[in-house]
Amino acid sequence: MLDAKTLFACLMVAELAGGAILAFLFLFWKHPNAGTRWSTGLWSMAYIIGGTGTFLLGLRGTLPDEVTLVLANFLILFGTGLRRSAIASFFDAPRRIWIAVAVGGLWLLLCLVPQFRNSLIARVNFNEAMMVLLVAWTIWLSIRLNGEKLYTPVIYTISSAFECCAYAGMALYFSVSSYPDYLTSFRSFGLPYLLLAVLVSMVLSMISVVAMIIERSLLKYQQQALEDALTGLPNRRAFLQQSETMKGKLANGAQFAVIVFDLEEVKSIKQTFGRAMGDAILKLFGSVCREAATPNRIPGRLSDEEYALFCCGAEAEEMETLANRLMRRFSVSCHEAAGGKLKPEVSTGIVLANSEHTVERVLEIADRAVRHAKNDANTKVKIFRLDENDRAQPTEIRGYARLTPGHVSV
Amino acid sequence: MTLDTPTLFTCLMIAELAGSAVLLLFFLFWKPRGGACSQSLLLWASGLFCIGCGTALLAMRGEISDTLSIIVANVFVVAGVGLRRSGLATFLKTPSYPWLIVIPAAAWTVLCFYSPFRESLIARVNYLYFFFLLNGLWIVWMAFRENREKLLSVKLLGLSMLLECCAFVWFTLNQNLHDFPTFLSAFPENFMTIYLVTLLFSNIMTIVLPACMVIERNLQRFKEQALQDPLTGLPNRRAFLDDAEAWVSRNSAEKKTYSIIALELDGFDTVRDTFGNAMGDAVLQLFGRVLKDSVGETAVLGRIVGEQFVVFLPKSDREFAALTAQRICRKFGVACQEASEGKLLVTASVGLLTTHTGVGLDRAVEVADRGLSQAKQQGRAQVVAMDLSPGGGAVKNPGKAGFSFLRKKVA
Repeated sequence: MLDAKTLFACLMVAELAGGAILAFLFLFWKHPNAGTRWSTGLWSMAYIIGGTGTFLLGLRGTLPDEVTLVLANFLILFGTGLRRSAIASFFDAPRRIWIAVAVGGLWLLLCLVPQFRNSLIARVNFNEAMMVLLVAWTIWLSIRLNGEKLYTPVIYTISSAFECCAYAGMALYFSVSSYPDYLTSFRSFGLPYLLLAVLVSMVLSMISVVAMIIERSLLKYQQQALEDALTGLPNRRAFLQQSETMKGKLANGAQFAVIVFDLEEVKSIKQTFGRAMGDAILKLFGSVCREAATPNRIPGRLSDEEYALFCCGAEAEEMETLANRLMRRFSVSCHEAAGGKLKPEVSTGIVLANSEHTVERVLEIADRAVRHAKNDANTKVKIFRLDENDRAQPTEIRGYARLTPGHVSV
Repeated sequence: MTLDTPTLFTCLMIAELAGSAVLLLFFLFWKPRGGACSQSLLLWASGLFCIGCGTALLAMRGEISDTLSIIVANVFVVAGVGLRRSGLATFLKTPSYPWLIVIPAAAWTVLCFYSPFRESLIARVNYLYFFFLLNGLWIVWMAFRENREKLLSVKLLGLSMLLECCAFVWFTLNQNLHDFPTFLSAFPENFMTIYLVTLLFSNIMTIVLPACMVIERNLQRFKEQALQDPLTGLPNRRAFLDDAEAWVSRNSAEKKTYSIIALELDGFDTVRDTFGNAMGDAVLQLFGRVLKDSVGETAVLGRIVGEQFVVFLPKSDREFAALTAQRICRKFGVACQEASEGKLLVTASVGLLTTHTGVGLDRAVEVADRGLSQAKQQGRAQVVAMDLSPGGGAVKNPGKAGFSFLRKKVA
């Protein structure tokens, strides 16, 4: 037989432990934005206030009713309301702390009505309804606003749904068994189990909240680690990862191609016109690459002046047309942007391979193709084919529109 | 008010089992993790599960046979405590000594066959709590001394473990002082309540933290990738701008001076083409090392792009910036010749700007960069100091305009 008072104390201890961890994070964690900082502080307060309320609730009979009934429930409702604000703040939605105050205030007002105050069923039903409402609200917020696709709000959703069930069960239990007062229910059979359910869900949601805050920081750095800061394209690491994944989905022996563009002239542009101009041109080419992306093509910026496009199941001619189209597009936009003063040349290497080759190996060959293209006065596009024996063969292309900056007409 | 001891035990058990379930979920579904992380999660999850089971059996003292409630229960707890310790050791990549989980549990079982030991509560308590305390302190020690990545969650774990150790000491002291005949007779005592509540508090913290540790380590890795240039280990462009910008905006109220040194290796493409990519990388790494060794603690370094580097010197005047730039270039020249046995001499061109915090960092970097372009136009191994005119335009500093720090020109 479990003791209800002890369970209330345990709930408090659990909530205070959670509150302590969150307070520690609030003080010492390097928060990625103000929303997360606010959220951590609000969570910490919510748990500490809620825990105090729970503890007071367990003292029913020992302390006067004003404290264990009116104040205790006010603290619990206010704390739960703060949880809603904390979740909202985490997802950068308006915090609306007044909702927490309003729910608590409503309880205080109702307590002035003697009929309400003296009816256990009315009180329990009001309280549990509010708890279910507020917790369900946090669930709804964490599902709807989780645009970043974090893992931990999902865990939070599950554990809070469990918590909601426990509160609803509490309301149901009290309505069905109709105890004359709260203290009698302490000795009942069902209450301890409901309290245990609350305890478990509380511990679970606490873990997910702490994890949520850390995961947010993780996501920020993950994004920065995989994205090229200037163009927003995947960087070399991300490009390799993504294209290996896409290659993995291809059938065995299926063809793929990698196009590598080299904008070496940007270096001299930087020397002459300054870095800002060079960056603008690199960004321009970045947007050209991004526009070329389709569900089976991945763009990426490999190094300062090197861009790449990974394409599934492509033939030499198709790739060549694509490369030429992108180069022409870039040339035209450069012409428009700089009023015809700048004509940066692009050297392009295309490598056709099949899924047995690693993307890394293909990039190596593409580098060679780019070097050939640079040294060739006639053409700016070179195509290599990587055969089964891992040998790279230049592939001749039949007539195509050769593109040098001089030939562009706008 | 008095709390009910069996209920507290149940809560402890529930918290531990719930924690073990969550950690198991993390083990199964948390994708970005290294080998040490998942192994550590599994160890923690099973450790908590063992402790939970043991606690449940302990709480049923008097209702089930003593063999179960004393011997088996404590075997579980001892194993669980050891598993937690090796979980943290695995996480921190220190030796985890798995045999240290088995031996105390086996010794406990053997000792329990010796009836004077089994009959004496104090002997049992002292044996077990000595072991718990040892394990707890070991965890605390690891959390603070072996925590090389300086993870916050590991430090917090150390703190909560310290609290747990205090609870152990408290419990052992009280048992020894009061000399209870049986474990059950201590149940109604107040010290038992305090002990269990403290244990519950610290246990809940130690449940939350193993999951956090794993996420924080992942975070650290991404942070490194996001902010560090993998070749030289210097901050990348983003990190450099962030750090320097932070200093400038922190001190923007009181116009403090700062300097930007923009550096670029001369003729680096030729080095790459002649000696290959590997040599090029080695030269860049060498330059990165020279940079790190030549500036003070407060300076911010960065590899901007390719062979372009930048140094931010807070609170520095013109003289100091110029001297630093010269020192870097001279050191690099020497290091380069030493490393290649005199075959290779790579030089660097420098653009300098000293200004105050009223000028934005972006603008300062741009002007220093222009100085660098002019230096490159003048030839190799040149230093061009720039100045900002009162109107904000960039002009060459006449005093320090274009000097070379190479004593003899290199062909």
